[in-house]
Amino acid sequence: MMIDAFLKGLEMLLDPVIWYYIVAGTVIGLVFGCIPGLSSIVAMSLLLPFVFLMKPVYAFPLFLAICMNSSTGGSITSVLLNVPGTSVNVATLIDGFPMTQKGEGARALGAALTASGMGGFISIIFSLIMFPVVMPLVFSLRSTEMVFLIVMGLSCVAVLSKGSMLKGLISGGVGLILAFVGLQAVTGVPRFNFGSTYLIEGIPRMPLFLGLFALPEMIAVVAEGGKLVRRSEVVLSVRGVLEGVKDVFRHWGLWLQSSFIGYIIGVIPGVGGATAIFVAYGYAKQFSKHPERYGTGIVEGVIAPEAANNAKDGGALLTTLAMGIPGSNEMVLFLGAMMVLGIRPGPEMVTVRLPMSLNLMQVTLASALIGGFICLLVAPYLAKVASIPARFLVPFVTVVIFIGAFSAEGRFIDLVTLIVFGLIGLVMKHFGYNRPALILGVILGELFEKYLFIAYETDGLFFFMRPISLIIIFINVILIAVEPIRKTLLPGYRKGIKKA
Amino acid sequence: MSTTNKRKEEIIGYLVVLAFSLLILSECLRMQYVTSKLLPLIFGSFIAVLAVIGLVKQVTVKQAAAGIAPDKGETTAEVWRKYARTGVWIVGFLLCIYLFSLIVAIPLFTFSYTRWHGAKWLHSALFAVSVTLVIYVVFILLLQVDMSGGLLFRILRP
Repeated sequence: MMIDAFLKGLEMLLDPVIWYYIVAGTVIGLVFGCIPGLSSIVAMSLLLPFVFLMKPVYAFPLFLAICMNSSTGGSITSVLLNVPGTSVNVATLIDGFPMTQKGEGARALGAALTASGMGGFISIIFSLIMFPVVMPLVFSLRSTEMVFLIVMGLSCVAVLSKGSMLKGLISGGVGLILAFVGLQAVTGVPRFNFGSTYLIEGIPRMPLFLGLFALPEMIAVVAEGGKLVRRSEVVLSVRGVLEGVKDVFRHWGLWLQSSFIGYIIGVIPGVGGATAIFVAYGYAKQFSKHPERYGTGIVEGVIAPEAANNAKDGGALLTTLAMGIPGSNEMVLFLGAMMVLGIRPGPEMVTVRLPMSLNLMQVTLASALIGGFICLLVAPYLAKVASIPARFLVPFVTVVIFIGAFSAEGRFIDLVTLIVFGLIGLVMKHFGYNRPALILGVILGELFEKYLFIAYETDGLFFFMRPISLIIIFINVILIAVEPIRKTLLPGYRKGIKKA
Repeated sequence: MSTTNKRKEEIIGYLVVLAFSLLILSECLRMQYVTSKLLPLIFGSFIAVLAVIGLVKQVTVKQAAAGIAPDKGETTAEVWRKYARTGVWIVGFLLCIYLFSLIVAIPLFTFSYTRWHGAKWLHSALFAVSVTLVIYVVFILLLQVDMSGGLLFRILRP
């Protein structure tokens, strides 16, 4: 039955018009992904009113191609300019931009785009193979497990803390506090808004991300001599991109592991893409032979989050189709499009409409490959951005940052927030506080609190005594303890760190 | 820059963090519901404890163990002066947006910045026009983002 449905799905791909929609969606997704402030959500919301004019067989590929490629597009600005295109590209900044500064921007871009495109590809393969195994698992998950999955993401604060652990933990803690600003999901009571209506909905995320990362970097570029690339020798673009592509194959184990993490977290509704990228990064660092080099601009630090950020979309698609529960914000809009066209997601999608579900997965698979391919074609030219004279690059990027912060809500006050967080980011950068750890706290803090209270309300004080929770707790402990254990038990490893 | 000055800076940093955590804790105490204040209280106290540890470390332990980065040869004042110079441009851009709206501020900012930093008149003008044109087409025409609304335009509007 499965093979029949698979072949029927493939038959639908023989229609040449469908490919027009896939390519159009791919390009839209890439463009919206690489412009900060815009995202696949914006693109899909703009297209949603026109969905009823299209046939489902064309509308869904368009939406899925947009959704699949925005995080791939977002990696371009993250790597080259330290400006996260979308929120799921934040972890890529940690090693991507330092690589650009070392003159390896093309290589980082090649690795990021390949890992991202292939991550999306493999997640669909996972979906097709693991469909019968994953669904019962997802059905059995409750808020308790969500809490510990988010804790897994939060435990990466310790992993992200290079240099001073104390400052890393402080940064993560401050991030968590910032996440609590605004209306509390459980009680509906406003907190830490100091009487301001602006802060009732919490601190707007895009001005915060751009302020903490992009603005300080631009200021530092000017202050440190007006050059984005600090090394005199820059690796040639095409050769660099190809080197990045090869890197993904060289580190295929890491890529596969990160894609799997992204896929599993994507399958679980409500945990969010940020958890996926940080957990993938954390795992990559903790189980690396040279964790001390993470954060200094190494290619493994780019491959891990990029593989996870696209793989989570494949997982989210599975949950959306089979359960009717959107696994991510993009999937909410995809669900909306399905409803508009009179197709109800749910168990029907894995029985009567199985060929359609499989066709959608095939479409996603194709769009991930096309997106990756298009990006790799233009990557050598994009990588030259890093060599543009600062007197042109700085005002251009500053304008992009301001537009990114402004366009989400169209409020002037968001620009003030941008400047405030720009100043905070600059101070943090100067004094060695950990900005990714702060972002991690901000992203996961709210989710953590929400699921914690739901878990407590439903399962009581000992909510963590469920078998799946205990397994996740065990994995968490391993993630945190692996580094100290290696330091204690392996003297050779300790020597290696000292040498580095 | 001397080690003492760096240590002073670190101490000031931890004091700011401590003040922030105390502000959070005092806000928490004013909250009515336990569910609202529980986690902020826990994390606020956690940050306060970490800040105190950092302070104690700075006051008691030697420079290397306290985690002070090696001197890069430039004084903090010099570095911050450089930051401030760029910061002035950014704040100026913000003021322009407030007064004239975003779409007017973009060519003003890009043109004046590039000119100030040594670009030729023609290059600056071409750059300013092309950036504005791209932003206009993508954001105003296609995405219909409202970029008007500068203070002066609001005052002059009948």
